[in-house]
Amino acid sequence: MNKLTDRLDNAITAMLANRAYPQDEGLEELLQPARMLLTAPVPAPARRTAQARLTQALAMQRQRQPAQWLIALRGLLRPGTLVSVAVAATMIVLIYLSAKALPGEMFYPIKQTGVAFDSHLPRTETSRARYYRDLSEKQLAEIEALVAKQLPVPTEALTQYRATWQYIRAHYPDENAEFIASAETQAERWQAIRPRLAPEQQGLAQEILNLLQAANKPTPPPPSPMPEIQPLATPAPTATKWRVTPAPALPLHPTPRTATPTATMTSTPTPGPTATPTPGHTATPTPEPTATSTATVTSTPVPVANSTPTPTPTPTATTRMSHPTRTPTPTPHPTRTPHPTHTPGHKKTRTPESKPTKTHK
Amino acid sequence: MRAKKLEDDAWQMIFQQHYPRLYSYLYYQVGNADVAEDLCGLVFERAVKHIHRFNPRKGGLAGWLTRIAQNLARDYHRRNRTRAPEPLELNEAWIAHGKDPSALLLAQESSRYLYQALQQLTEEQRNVILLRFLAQMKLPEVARTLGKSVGAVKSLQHRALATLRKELKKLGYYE
Repeated sequence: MNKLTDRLDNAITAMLANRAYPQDEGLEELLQPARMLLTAPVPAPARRTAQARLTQALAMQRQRQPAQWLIALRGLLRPGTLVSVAVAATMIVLIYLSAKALPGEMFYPIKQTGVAFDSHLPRTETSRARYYRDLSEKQLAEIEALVAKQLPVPTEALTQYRATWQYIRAHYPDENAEFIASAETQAERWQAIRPRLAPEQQGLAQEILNLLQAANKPTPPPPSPMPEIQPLATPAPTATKWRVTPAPALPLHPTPRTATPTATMTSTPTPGPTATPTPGHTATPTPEPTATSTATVTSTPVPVANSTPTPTPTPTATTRMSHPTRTPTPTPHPTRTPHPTHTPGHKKTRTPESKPTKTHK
Repeated sequence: MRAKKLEDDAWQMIFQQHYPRLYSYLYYQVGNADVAEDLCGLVFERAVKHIHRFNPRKGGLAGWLTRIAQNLARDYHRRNRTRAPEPLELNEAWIAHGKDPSALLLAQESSRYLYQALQQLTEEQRNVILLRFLAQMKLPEVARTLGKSVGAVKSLQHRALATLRKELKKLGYYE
């Protein structure tokens, strides 16, 4: 049956397009009325009447035709467009309302979502640093606004502010002038609002103050251009008997910021400390873009007693570093991050290792 | 689209292109040349008025105009529901056809037989036949206009032609 209806329709389509169609005896009876329909006679239409009505309708419609902007508006009012416009408008209103929201308010989570999204955007190291400085200032301004309005400050707002500064302290060097200036100002502002925080928030407030104060303290200059390498205080159980002493005078390159100190390594069979420099005492200067100093350490081990050290290939380390401002002394701030010398985005400095290998006879 | 800007030339072109088939369709729908002429004028009036709603992506202009004609014919039948189908009117419109008298007589007779046979079809079958042969719509367009599947329209077309042949034979048109 399906085949018959298909064949019939194919033949009718051919007839309508004035094309030849295959003769099919099974279809002939059905095609007779089809042919009659195609040549169905109709009385001659009085076209003039219909044409006059069309002209009249066109004239009337031109008068009634709305302005172009109204036609465009009608296009906008289609259901699909309307939904999209409504969603976009709602988003704009929400973003606008949340822009001025303070912690604890209804639209603040939307603002926080925006901040979270914003923090993941790709940035250069400099602009990222600026972003976190600005973020900390915005967070402080929000807390200040709450205090000014005599509203309770949610602990979450304080936690977030602290987290921002912890991040800054962990990821950006102390020498960043922007942070130092900002931290100084923020510390002053913080001290002004701190007494107005709830008693249970005072601990957190103090932590924040410590962070801010630590951030705006300038780092003291180093005692010498070449850090002293001292042995470990703990006696080593092995027979390592090397002491590394730097050369008294370090020859400097003519360049004012370039120094090539030469350290002579002398092995002394002292019974205890090994010549392993502690990680905390290594010279890990924070680089500045222009300041470089090249330190060349040449060790000449002299065997004493039974130990015969084998001269190592060349424990000479050439280190590109800025004028070393970091002292090997422990940091005075309790809130310092565990890795204060971590400087993201900068070329890592290498600590000259003066750990010669030796053989025992 | 120039028609949307209500340009005269564009609408005259549309009129010349679609008027004959719309008129034929409406003539066999209502069985009266004057009514068909009137409805045909109304089709173009409505088309002009609602051209801003026409979306070419949803189908061609031919289909859109035919749907307007179909709605007008349906309204006409609804208004004249109580009246029996009028016998095909033979009037001066046929004389204006300009054919020789014997051919004119044959055309009138064929037309009357066809109209009578069409009245024996179900409404769905009649719609399929008129849209397919007189409005000269393609099968998918007919299906879309009637809200049916192409397969269902093919089936209706087949049954309608079989019934038409049977009725025409009964009327003595076929020996």
